[in-house]
Amino acid sequence: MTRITRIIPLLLLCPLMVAGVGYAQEIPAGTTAQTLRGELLSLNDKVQSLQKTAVDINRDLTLLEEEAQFPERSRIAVFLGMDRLPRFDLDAVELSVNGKIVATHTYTPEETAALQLGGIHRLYIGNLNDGEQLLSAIFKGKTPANPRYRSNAFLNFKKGQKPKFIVLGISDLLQDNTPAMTVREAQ
Amino acid sequence: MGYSAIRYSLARGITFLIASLLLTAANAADDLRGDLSWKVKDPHFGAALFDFYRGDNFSAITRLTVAQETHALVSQEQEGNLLLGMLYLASDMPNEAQKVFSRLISDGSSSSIGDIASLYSAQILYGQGAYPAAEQLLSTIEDLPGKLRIKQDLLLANLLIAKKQFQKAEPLLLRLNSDTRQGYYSRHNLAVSMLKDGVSSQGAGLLDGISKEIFSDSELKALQDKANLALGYHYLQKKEPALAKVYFQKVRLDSYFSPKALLGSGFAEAAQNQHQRALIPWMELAQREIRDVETQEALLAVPATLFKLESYKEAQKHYQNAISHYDAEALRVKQSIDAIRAGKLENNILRLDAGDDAQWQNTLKKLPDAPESHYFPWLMENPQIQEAVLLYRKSLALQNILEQQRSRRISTVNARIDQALAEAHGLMQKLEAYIQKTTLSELSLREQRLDKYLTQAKLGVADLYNHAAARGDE
Repeated sequence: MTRITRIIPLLLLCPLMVAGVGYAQEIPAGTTAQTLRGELLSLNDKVQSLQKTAVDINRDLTLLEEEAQFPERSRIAVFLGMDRLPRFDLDAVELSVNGKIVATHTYTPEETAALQLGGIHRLYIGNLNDGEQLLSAIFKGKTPANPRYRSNAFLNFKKGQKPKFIVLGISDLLQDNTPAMTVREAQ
Repeated sequence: MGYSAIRYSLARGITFLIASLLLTAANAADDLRGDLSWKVKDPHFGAALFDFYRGDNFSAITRLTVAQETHALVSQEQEGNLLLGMLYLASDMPNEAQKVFSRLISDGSSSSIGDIASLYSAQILYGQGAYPAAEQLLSTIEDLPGKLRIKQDLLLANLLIAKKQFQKAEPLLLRLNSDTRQGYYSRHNLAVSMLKDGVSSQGAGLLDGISKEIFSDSELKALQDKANLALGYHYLQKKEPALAKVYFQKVRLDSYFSPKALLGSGFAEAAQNQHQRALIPWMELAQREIRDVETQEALLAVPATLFKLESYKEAQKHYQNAISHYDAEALRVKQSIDAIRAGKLENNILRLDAGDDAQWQNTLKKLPDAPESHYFPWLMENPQIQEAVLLYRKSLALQNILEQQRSRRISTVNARIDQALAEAHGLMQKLEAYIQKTTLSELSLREQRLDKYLTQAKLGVADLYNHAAARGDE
């Protein structure tokens, strides 16, 4: 029965372990499980701190790169959002500025799911001169009635000295499985 | 119960490893993603949310912190901070998450955001064992969205369990989510806490409820096995072996918990003086995976029982079988110790597929048997080794990220990257040392245990000869 009594408390504590845990050979004498736990916690803190450093560096690199490549005065970013449309399967979006295609993106199922949940995809970031501009977008996908559904939208806007943010939105306002795109300027 | 010969393979351990290493983090992130329904007003906030929902937390944090730095979050600044805290939490960075949530609480954010931040903060405190602080924070919450109210009640129940106020925790848990996966886990944990604390009839009753369920979900089936196993050993300890046997027999033969159930089943039979019947589960177990301690025990239990049954020749045969198994196994342990001392665990296993844990899982499954990998899944059952390996893999991935950042060639940041890389290097060395000492100690224990079993088997053989001599046999 001694074997059983050894097993039972451990099973209750951690049913995945049967053998008793102790440290014999490689761990210096006097080292307790608590010391080992403390050591691990300290290592965990250090890894978390390193993660934060990597995150901060990434933020600063991104800031520096965006500022160098897309200065604020000429920057334009276009975002795409979509309502929860269970009967529409978004395939791709093509974006043109002043008649020139600047971005195309084919959406993976994960990305479509992220859009349906309320996420907004930054479709494009680039530079534009001041003045009147024309933005056009086409989206393609599948509806129950049309496996090659496509629709488009346009926006005339004026680019000034500040960054310009434009949001494309796909929704089915009429609820007749004919999703349409709206275009708006954001702050 | 009929015992079929079910063999274990390394895949068993690898499956465990996959579950424990990666799913924990992934589940935590999935769990957080479904917590709140956001109304997006600000495209920069929405873009971070997009990355969060598609599972790229690192990009989401970058996007959000860039937007914060450039003051681009015009209308959703507080929500941005809340999302940032959640992203840190989903990225296994509770220290950073706690800083963000604490700021949101102390800055007097809107009451709804403050309440949500308080809940997450209390969850982190609970995870750190700071129960009174977690309880105090929970008490400040006024209202929460539906899904988070369930989490609040669950946390409250867990705090009550920690305070051993089982009577208050039980109705809360039963009311909460009785037929969800989380509900069953909570009930199981409550029951185990009750058994540990001597509230045995109620604890056993809760486990029995789980035992009687019919599950199709594989994870819940495993939980049911665990409950049956705990009940089996509980009744063995209470000297009710007949009842114990019933629960041991309910554990599926291909379950992770099957070796412990087979061992217990034999104990239950032996406790009722049914030695012949005890041999059935033990003989089955003795043919299974030798790296399992239960198999090692069964190898000894079989001849000892045969001796009791006066089947001396059979007993001798099985003692010899046990001795040869222990000898061979002791040699393999020694080879593994030598390989780990030589640094082969880090070089040939831990560093593989750096930065790509999904690929690493596939690689592990296909690893040829080698001294350094032979016990790896078993070593990973030690929670400290498991956590250290997880930290090592994380550091390796961070090292890769930092290398990629350096390749972006922005000189003003290079010094920081180099310093971070040096830190990563130092940290990995410390983790290697930690993993080495803990794995070697585990193997050393394994060696000692085998040595003990070997001595007992040899003593068993000696007993047999003494007995034969006393009887005047040849």
